Amino acid sequence: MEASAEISIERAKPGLSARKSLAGLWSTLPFVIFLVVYLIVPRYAGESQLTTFIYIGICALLAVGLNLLMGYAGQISLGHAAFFGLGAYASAILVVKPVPGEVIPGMSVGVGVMAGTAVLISLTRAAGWRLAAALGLLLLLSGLSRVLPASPIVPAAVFGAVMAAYGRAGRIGWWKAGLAGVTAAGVTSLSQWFLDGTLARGGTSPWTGMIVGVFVTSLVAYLIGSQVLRLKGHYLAMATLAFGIVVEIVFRQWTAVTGGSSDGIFNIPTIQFFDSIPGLARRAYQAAAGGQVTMRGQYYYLVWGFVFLAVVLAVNIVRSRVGRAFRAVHGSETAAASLGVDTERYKVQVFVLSAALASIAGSLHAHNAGIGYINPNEFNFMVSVQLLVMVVLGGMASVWGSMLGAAAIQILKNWMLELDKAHHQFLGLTLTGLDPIVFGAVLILVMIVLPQGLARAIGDTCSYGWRVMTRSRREG
Amino acid sequence: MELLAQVPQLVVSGVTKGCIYAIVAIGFSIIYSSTQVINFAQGEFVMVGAMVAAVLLAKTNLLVALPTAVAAGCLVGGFVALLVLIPIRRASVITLIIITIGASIMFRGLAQLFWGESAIPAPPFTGVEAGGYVEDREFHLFGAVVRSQELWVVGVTGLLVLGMHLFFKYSLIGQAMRACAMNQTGAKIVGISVRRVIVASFVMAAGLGAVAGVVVSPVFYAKCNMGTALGLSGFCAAVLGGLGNFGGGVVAGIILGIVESLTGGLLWSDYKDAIAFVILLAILFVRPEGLLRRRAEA
Repeated sequence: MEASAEISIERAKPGLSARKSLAGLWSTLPFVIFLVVYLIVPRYAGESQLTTFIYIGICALLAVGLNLLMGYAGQISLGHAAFFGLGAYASAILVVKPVPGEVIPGMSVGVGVMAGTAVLISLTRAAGWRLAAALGLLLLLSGLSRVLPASPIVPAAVFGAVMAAYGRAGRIGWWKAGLAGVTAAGVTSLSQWFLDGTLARGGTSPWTGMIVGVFVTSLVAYLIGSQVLRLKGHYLAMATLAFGIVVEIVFRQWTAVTGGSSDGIFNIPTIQFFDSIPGLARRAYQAAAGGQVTMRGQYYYLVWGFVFLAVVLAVNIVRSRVGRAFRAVHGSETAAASLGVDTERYKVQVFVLSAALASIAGSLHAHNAGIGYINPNEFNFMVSVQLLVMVVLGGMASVWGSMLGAAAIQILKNWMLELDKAHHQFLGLTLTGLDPIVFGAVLILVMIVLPQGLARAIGDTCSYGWRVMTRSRREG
Repeated sequence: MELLAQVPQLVVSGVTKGCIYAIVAIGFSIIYSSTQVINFAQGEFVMVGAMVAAVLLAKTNLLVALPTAVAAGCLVGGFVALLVLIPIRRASVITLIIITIGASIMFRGLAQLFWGESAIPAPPFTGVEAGGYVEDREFHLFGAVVRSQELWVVGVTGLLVLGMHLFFKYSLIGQAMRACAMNQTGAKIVGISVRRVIVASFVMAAGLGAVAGVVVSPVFYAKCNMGTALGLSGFCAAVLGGLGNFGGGVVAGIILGIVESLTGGLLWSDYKDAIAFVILLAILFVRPEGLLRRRAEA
């Protein structure tokens, strides 16, 4: 075995560059296949199949993001539906149902305080009581800023001065706290201006909604992640679970902004994908699809375009220095830290990245063509569990596997919907609402039988079959 | 002034809730000490007990309902223990977390399949028959109305905590479990079967949870999705009191119940469900190292 390996290396040496370029070609092959399939699907698929594809795409986006966090960096998150929901609600609220005037000051202060705290954390890595004290002070100042004159310079100056004084007192350096104060004031007035403008115009474009959603979600993820990711194992799982439930309760109860659980938000317009890209690209898409593309087809192209970008991003991150750092953190955090990997920073980065992907998926879900309706039930604990099932089923630490998992779960869900409609009787029980049982069983079985996931299992089977076949040919 | 008049009533309902949190917290502690696993299905044990009891109490009496419910709970606990035991040698923390989550939602789904999605009301243990249904007796105490069922909850919790204490101090299995919690290798060397201890601790935690479910089912209605919230609040109490520390868990559970009830009743009634989780997040934010200190030293 070893000898043959050495021989192959010896042989490879002369044509190394040719081999290398071949290997490069080989590794881009999946992407090429992906692109080709992506372009020609609307040519053959009907409307209902396109709808399924759109759902699979949204789930794939979520699963790829969560897999970066769970599979590569080894940090569990049971609250990912919260980020999905934040993205969806941010874009739906901004586009359809602008924030009512009386909520705007409080909300912009909230965003400002979050931004200020984020700056404080990133500069000082402040923890515990120090952070709590700073947060309290920021909130107090935000209340004060409403009384002060409307020009943003005055509150910014007051913020900066008080926070600088706090910085000296709290021994975290005056300029860091001052910068946090100025950022808080700046972001507060910025978001107030933005929300006022949105209210005056009666809504923004979906793209703006998506971008703002990503910004807000990343901010929240940074704040939560920088604190929560210090925890390990069970504590981390429980903390993310608690976070997810709190966010869901806010969606449910803050009816002035989110519409609550009985109404939800409806009539969310879809994104006209072809209207927002250059004419050349539009004609290329139309050529690939063979003629006119329906609204749903356009949306399919949009969603899977994002999936393609996310997969390229994920694969490249995994292969890069950052990806190696993630895997080092997964293997052993202590060892990684002792080798000079800034474990805390990498963990927070991957958390924010996966939250941002979830937020994009949320916006895409909210603007889904022909549906345009969201309510809090779509972002509850069960959704987080479904995401977990997708990642686990597809295989942790496998980007392509999470797409496989997303597709499998979505198809399973479609089947169960049909089962629900059929109202089968079994032992006197009506078989409806089987999702939790099936997902629970899948989770347990996969963890016990194939902990590496479906993608790895298929790959192993194929390579085993290939070996058996080539061996028999060589011997025969 | 009107708000302050509500305080005694809120404290009473807080103590009732807190007792359940305390029992769930003890369940977490029992399993954590013997396996180092946080069992995400802990709240589901309470749910199973409450559902079985609620269904049976409507037809029969307590003497049938209580043993059946506890037996059902123990069965579920034993099942989860087996699921955790199969891969425990090669499993990472994430694997075990995912398995217990899977078990948790599976049982929730089964309960929903068998008993439906709506809440099931149960008659109180001791009460007056009045026009077809049993009405609870009420007492007045410091301006609050105390129902006899709430006394039952407090009394049963007290008994269970006392029983636990005696069990771990004097019985052979209890001592074996304590030995396992201190040092698993050492326990193996002196001839304790760690696998049996793990199964025993799961069954015990589940039985406790089921008893809690039975006594609480007349106060809060039994519902198939009550488990997640109860589990998280109980975990919050367990962390507050220190994982593995039974007395601390009980005190923390009752305090948590009172705080939740007071803040929910007086300040933010819209967000009363979120209070326990916010407290949990705040604790984990502010003192992550304090919570892990015991493990780091070991």
